[in-house]
Amino acid sequence: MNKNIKHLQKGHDVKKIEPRTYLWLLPAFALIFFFIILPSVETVFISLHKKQNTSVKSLKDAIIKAIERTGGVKPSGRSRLDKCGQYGPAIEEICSGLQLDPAAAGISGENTVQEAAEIIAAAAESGDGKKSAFAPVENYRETFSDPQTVVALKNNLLWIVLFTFATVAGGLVLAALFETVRWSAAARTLVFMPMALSFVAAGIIWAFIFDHNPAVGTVNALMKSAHAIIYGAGAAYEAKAFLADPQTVNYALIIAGIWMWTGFCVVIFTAALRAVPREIIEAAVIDGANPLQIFFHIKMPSIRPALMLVSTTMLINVLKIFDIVYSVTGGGPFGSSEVLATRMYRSAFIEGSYEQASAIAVVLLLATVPLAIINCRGGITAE
Amino acid sequence: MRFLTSIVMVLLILTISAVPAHCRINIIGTWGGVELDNFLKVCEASSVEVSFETTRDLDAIIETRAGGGNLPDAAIIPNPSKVRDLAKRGIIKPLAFLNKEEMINKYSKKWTDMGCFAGKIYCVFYKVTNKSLIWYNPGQFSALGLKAPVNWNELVSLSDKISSKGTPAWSIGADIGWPLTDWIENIIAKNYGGEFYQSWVDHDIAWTHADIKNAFNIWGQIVDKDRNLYGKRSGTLAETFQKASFAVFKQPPEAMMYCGADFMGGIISEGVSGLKPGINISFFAFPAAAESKTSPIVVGADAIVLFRQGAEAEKLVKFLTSAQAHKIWAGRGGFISHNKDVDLNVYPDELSKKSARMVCESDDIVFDASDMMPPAVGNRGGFWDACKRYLKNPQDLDKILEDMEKLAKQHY
Repeated sequence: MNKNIKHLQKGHDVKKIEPRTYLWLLPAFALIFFFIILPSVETVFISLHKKQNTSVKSLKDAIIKAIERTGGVKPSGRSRLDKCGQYGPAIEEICSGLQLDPAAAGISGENTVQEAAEIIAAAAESGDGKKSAFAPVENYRETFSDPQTVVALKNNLLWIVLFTFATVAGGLVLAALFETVRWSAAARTLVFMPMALSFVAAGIIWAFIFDHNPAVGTVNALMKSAHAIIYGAGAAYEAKAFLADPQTVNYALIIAGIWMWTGFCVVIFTAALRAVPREIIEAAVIDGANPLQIFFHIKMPSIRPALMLVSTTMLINVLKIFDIVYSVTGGGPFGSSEVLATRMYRSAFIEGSYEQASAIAVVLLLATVPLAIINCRGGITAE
Repeated sequence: MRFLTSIVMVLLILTISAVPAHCRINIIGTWGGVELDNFLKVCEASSVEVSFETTRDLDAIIETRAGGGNLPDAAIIPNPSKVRDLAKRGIIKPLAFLNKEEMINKYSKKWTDMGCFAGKIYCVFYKVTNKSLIWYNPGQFSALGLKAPVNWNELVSLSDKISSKGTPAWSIGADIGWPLTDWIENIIAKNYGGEFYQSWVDHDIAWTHADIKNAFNIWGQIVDKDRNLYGKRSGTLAETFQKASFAVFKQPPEAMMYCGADFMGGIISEGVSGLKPGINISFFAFPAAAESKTSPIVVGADAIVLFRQGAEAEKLVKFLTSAQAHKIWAGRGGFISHNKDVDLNVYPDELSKKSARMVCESDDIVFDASDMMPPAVGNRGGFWDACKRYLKNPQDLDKILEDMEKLAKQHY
């Protein structure tokens, strides 16, 4: 089957492929369709629509105002309708505004203003009342003008710059160095090890490492001993709460992310470096090139496809970063470590706004598509 | 032919196994461990077969399963705001088989009303938490000649007295914000009364209201001083609420008081060994404001809601409203009942009994505001973070309240 795919990609011998081959690919296409394409289309669709949200609070305020106007008394939310004088016209006015039948809503004088608002809201949201109108920009505008999403966007940019640079550069340097040491396999395994952990587990490990209590937190313990050496054992050390301080929390999380992903980069780069033909390097050595020159002028150009692949993979990775942030800080303190993926989760499941969450999802999707294309094409040319 | 027979056989087996032998009802909730064991014992007594699915992400699970049309029969939900939201959207069903008058008699009008939406009962509260408590070590207090305060001013002077001797008076864990919201809720309820509290919850008054601002400043009388707090303000913001509570009961103590709900008793006893209720662990009521006549207490509660009506589900909900259902769990510990027919002697320990007495005897209760407000306002990103921001920088109060008001306008 693998052979056939290669044929497909290279574009020759297409005629030779029998229809049966496509049959084998059908399950894969079906999976892709039902679990990737269909939900994506639906997400885009949701993000372009605005669901009618009937706020009980604003209905209540509207009823109070209407009764005050038609009946002359200003009721409170807890006063019974029959104690408010002429409440009928006010209710009718509100209902007709929402295209509801006031009689069908079943509001009686025994209901309080609050209850009437709740009845109308429930009626407006049930059955035919549940309208969603086409609103192409609303959700996007609302989401990206929300200060919390703006913070998430900024944090994502910080992640993109620091995380991608550190993992790719760090991975390359380590891979190059590991080529020259004796226990390179062991060293590589050690660096790769974090990849074997579940991200949530790794997140919890880092939550401990950054704990503000020196008896628990490794970083604070190290800083405390350093402090004792510099200022003497008696000097009081003030523990730093890395994860509770908005100024340090993002860097702390990014460090955790780098720790997890550098191993992956190292492994890919090592494989790529191994594939660089010995003869070229030997020829360069004979020509008198020093190791640095060999690295920059021979090895780097040879592993360019791998470099592209790793960079784009890391970029996609960082765009959808979620696990570390969610498990370590949950986006806190005060939303200062929120990233787009956690903000999306909170929009949908805590704040109950699927529309705004979809808008974020679409933006993330659009950001990853070009990278994914570069990634795939890079992979093919490498072959 | 054999092929056909085998297919028919398989289909037959599938249909038989799809029809359950018993009518079992599925419930989803956050209860796990001992809590779940106790609840299942209660279900057993009602002779309704229950399978319980425990999740830490209740809201997300309910939303996705509602979207997929795959809801269980019932859920145990800790926040009334979610109940109201689900009721408004028609996702949960009214409990029409319950008589409102009867419920008011058994519990109280307040408790019954809190479970209502659009005049209909939508949920039944079962398992109450008393959030107006301050935990302390009575042995330590008497050794130092300290007495539990009866009003807020006494509490403030007690804090100063303790802290001036070197040990911080308070340990507050605020890495997540909700333990802090209990403070503000208590201060607002006790200073300005239940009526005002409710209009604050309903957003009938603005967050920028002078009294709300004042409530934060009253809290500031305690938390605005670094020496009052174990770990100072920066440490407080990084500490978990569990570890913070242990600090009060360690030997030697690292702080003297901890403000937290009654369920903290169980958490503290697990974290610190050798504690004897009444001897070296106890609580006093969150003190009333000096000049106020009433002193409402802040409570939280779990509530059962139905996504689907059915005879078995109805039977279970009815049973959960009975005093018997409350007695079973109350007797097993870790449960406070608001049912007036539950004899206080069923509680296995002094502290639960004391907390239950407070809940039953007070006719003035208010429900935890952070659970009553729309989640975007009441939880993380909203009220939780507002309290944390105040703790970090009290002078930012105006900006914090303005932000809260903006958020509330968006989400109510």
